[in-house]
Amino acid sequence: MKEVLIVGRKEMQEMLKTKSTLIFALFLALFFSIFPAMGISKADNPAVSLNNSVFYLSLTIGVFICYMLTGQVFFREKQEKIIETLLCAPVSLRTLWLGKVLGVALPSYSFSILSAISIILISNIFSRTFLFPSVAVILHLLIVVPLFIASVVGLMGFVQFLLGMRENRIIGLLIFVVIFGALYGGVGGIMRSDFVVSWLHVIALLTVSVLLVALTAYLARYLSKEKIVTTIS
Amino acid sequence: MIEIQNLTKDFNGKTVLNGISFEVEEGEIFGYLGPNGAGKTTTLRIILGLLKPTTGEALVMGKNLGDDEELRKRVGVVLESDGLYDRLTAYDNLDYYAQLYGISDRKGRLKQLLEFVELYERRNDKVGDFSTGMKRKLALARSLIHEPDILFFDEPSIGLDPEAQRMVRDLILRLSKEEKRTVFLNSHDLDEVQRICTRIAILQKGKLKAYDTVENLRRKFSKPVVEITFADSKEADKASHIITSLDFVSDCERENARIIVALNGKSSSTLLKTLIGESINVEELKKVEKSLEDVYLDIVRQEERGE
Repeated sequence: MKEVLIVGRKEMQEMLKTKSTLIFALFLALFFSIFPAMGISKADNPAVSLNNSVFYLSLTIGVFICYMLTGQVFFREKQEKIIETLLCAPVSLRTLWLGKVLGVALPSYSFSILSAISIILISNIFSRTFLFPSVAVILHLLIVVPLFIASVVGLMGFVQFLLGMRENRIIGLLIFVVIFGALYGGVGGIMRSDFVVSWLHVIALLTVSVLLVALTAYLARYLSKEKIVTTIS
Repeated sequence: MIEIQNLTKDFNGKTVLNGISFEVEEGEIFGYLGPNGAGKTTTLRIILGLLKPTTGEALVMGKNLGDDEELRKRVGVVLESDGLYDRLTAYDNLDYYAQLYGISDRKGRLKQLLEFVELYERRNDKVGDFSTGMKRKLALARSLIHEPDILFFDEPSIGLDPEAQRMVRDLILRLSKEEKRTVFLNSHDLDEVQRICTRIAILQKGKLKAYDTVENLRRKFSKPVVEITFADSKEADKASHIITSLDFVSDCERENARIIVALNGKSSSTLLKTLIGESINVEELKKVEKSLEDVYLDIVRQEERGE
């Protein structure tokens, strides 16, 4: 566990020292939160609209940022062959992988929380009544979002470690299109009042997150140093 | 210390290593040589536990490095890539590994190492701003953090200026002689290997072509070479025609009134008798000491010629 924290802390330290990444993540989190939030008060049902926005945007923004950071933590380390030296250190591959997952998931989740807080604050500035997300959405934010982000980081990290550079670039581009499309296209949909976030949605997403975590843990067994090293170049 | 037993590695049906066996003893500096693509990096990766052999074994202190985290604490590596994080400072790079290796007095150890590689003043600078040589020095410092018993260096002097190259050489010699550490040196720098290695192995196309001390290899593999000085270049001209027609001469190189001849089978006295018999005025004939580079090239070319 101590080694997981060492690896995770180093990944976060590296991110903090990369200003361009931080600024871009911050811009992304705020841009996709502030503009929809400004329209919440004008919606037919502002409370429903706020719930929808927090439910959807906190997750998609977190996933977008974790996609961005995963590339820097897993793919870049492999591309620059740093991973080879790291694999010679007295830590297991699983520890390294978990540490990296932690190092990406935590900052990504922080940006999710930031986007949720921004949405709540901005919507209240423009609204005459006090708006606050429902209990289901709060639990979604506190449990489902971090779990989902962690499982996505784990899965993407697994893929980036396992596949070659060219395959990784192709898959990375596809994932980018899907996430960006979901983020950009979904903003309009969530403002409509005919979609109402319920416990059912939260539980369904929680189930998906748990299944993703289980899948990632299962797939991690197939990760080996040999697979990583032989797909470096 | 390191035992390689009948090591074979296949990648997608292609044999990259073919039944390699050698041993590296405690405290020795072992040079591992071979042209690009010979299988040196694959051997190193198998020893370090990054790859699994198809058959055979690569043992370090009787165990497989890949399976034993405790054993990895006794091994230091500098691989082809420096393995440094460009966005972190020199200090943070070392500190990360110091934590992973469980070093107790990190501050003191890091200061000592950074001063040793003359990077203490630059400790708070990002590694991305460092020159290749500085990065190499930092990587060397990182490999020594935990005071390992065995060091694996893959081209440690690459990109270094002559002064830094000398520093690396002196460091390796000191680690081996004074501190009895074992060094496995994967290198293209034959001069470096000749100066510091006690034993070497030469690998070509996945097969071990030679494995012995530098002196023994010189004796075993190098063909005798003589340097003949003639009275003038006219004599050298005449001699050159005669020498090149002799069947026991494998190579002949002319430099004004001097000719360097590589002999194949017969001795230098036979050559001298032949020249005197042809009334050539020989001023001096001396045997030439072969360098490791000559031995290495002989071995590699021998294989290329299919001998």
